[in-house]
Amino acid sequence: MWNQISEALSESTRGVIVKVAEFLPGLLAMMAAVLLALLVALVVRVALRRSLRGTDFDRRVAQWGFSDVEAWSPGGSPSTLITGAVTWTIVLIGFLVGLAALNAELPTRVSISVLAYMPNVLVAFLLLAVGSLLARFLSRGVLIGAVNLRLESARLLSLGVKWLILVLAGAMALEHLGLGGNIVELAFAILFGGIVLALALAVGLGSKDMVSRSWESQLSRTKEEVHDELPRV
Amino acid sequence: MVNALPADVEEAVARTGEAEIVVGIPSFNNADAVGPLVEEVDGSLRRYFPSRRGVIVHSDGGSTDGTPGRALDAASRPDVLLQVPFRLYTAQKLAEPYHGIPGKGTAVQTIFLVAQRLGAKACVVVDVDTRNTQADWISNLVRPVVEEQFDYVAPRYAVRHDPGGGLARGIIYPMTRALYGKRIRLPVGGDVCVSGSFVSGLLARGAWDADVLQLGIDNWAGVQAVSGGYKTCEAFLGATIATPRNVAFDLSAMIAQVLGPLFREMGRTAAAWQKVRGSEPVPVFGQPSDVEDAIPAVDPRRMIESFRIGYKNLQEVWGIVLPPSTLIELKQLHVAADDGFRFGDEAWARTVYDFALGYHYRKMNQDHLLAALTPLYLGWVASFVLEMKDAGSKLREERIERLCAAYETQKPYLISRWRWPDRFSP
Repeated sequence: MWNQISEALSESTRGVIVKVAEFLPGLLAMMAAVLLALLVALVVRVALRRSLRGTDFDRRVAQWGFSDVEAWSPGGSPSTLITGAVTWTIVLIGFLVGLAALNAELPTRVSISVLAYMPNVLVAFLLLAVGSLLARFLSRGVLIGAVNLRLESARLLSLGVKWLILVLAGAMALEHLGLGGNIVELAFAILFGGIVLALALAVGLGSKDMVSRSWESQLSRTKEEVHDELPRV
Repeated sequence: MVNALPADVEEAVARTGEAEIVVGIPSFNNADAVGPLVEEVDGSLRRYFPSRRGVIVHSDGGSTDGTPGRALDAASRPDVLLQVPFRLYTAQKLAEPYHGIPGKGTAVQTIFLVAQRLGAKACVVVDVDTRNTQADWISNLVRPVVEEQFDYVAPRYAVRHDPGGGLARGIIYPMTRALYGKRIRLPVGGDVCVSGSFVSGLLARGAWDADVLQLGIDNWAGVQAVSGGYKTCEAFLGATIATPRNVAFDLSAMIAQVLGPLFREMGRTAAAWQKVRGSEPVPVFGQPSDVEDAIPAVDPRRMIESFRIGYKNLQEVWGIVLPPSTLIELKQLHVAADDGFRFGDEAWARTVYDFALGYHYRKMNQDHLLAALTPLYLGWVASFVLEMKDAGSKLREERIERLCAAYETQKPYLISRWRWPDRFSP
């Protein structure tokens, strides 16, 4: 009896030791991968930061007309945004490689599926980034144009355009991620339609006097009056 | 290829031989105006320059209302008129430029090329939009070039109440004067005369910008004259009457078309204008007109309202370009009563300079930036109208002179921010 117990204990201990011995190299490999990734990320971060500063990247971004990127960057610096994004991407890749090195079925499957999902995440992020830039650009254009037309509801129009594009970009990103399914489509249709209707009502009700004045003057004015309307000083 | 003319035009130019004076008329669907203008110019050349050979070069962009035929009918002899069409793209036709001729820059370039081939000493470009061009205006424009060897003669109109008048008085004249040190009242004038060497100088620059060809030729040529060390002067012309247009005019589009080329040229000529201090008058030829230039009755309240709508909605946009001190001044202006609505000269000069800086450093999309200036410009116009409503020509001249002085006083501010955009923010 005692012999059997002792044998069972030594068997289980041996099993645990074997399991630990099998797991330890994977753990060490994971730690090495993460450490290596951290080291590479640090080197890349320093090199990238120096080269971006050296090429005066922040100013160039503004000169290329992407001044809106500043608003979305930490510290208002697009180069900080880029170095941060690159650094954390390298660390994440290192972590996923480390998970795969554990040689366990679940972490490996997780890391492979995460890596396979990464392109979708990147495209969704790109869609959101382009959408937000486009939303800011167009809403500013609409705001200035509406102010120059002396529309009191200029800000409302601009906000409407901004959210229309943001909602559209968000829905596209979610669809690309495969999240939400029909709910996203439905919610998008309701939101998009709602915004368009709200805008139509706001502009229609808010500007009806202006529109009727405009039509009246269009119908009654002559060529000379068209020319006289402007500030000739 | 900038120096190429179509083969048939080259042949026509070769048949014409040589000419001392070329008068160019760019046009596009100006059937009513072109005939009388050709008659007037033809008469002027025969009357004032009988011993010099003059040729009228009519450059049309493919009018569909019979403009070329009317011009041909109006010429006294076939050899006095040379018709050289310029190519106008559909996109250019759709845009409505402030000067009324789509692709005017291409037309002027064609006229310059023909003038160069003919060996012209003087090349006048007249505004087909002006209904009452007089024979003696052509003479006043040409004489300084052929007799006094000037390179660029700008018009000095007695009265020119076109929609761009305020823009010329409030921004173009004071700003070009402060930048380049030459007191030319209308460096964007529609009627100008240039020398053969000026024409060759511009053509030698290679391809002209698309914007210059489509929209801002008048402004661009004027800036080249004052910044390029050319001998410049002015010629007195009378009161102009502009042809009314069929389409309503977009003020913010005009501001963009006029100021865009000026701000862009600031970037190209920065080394030159930063050395200029003060300004000097240029010679003026001809007899000043005794027509009183009265401000037409304009209601400033709508302009003030435009400014206030702009202030309420565009503070965030203006804040990208304007420093806090200017925004505070705009706030004071926003709350001022209509009667006391006055845009200070220094504040206005700094505002215009800040927009030029924002344009140069691309602080935001350049079209948005120029469009965002419109409510501020209307605020300045309202202030000017209120201040000058009972003033005569003399008082108004003095007022413009004070404004120009403010632009010159504020020039160090512009230079500082131009050189050190990040370090200097009042």
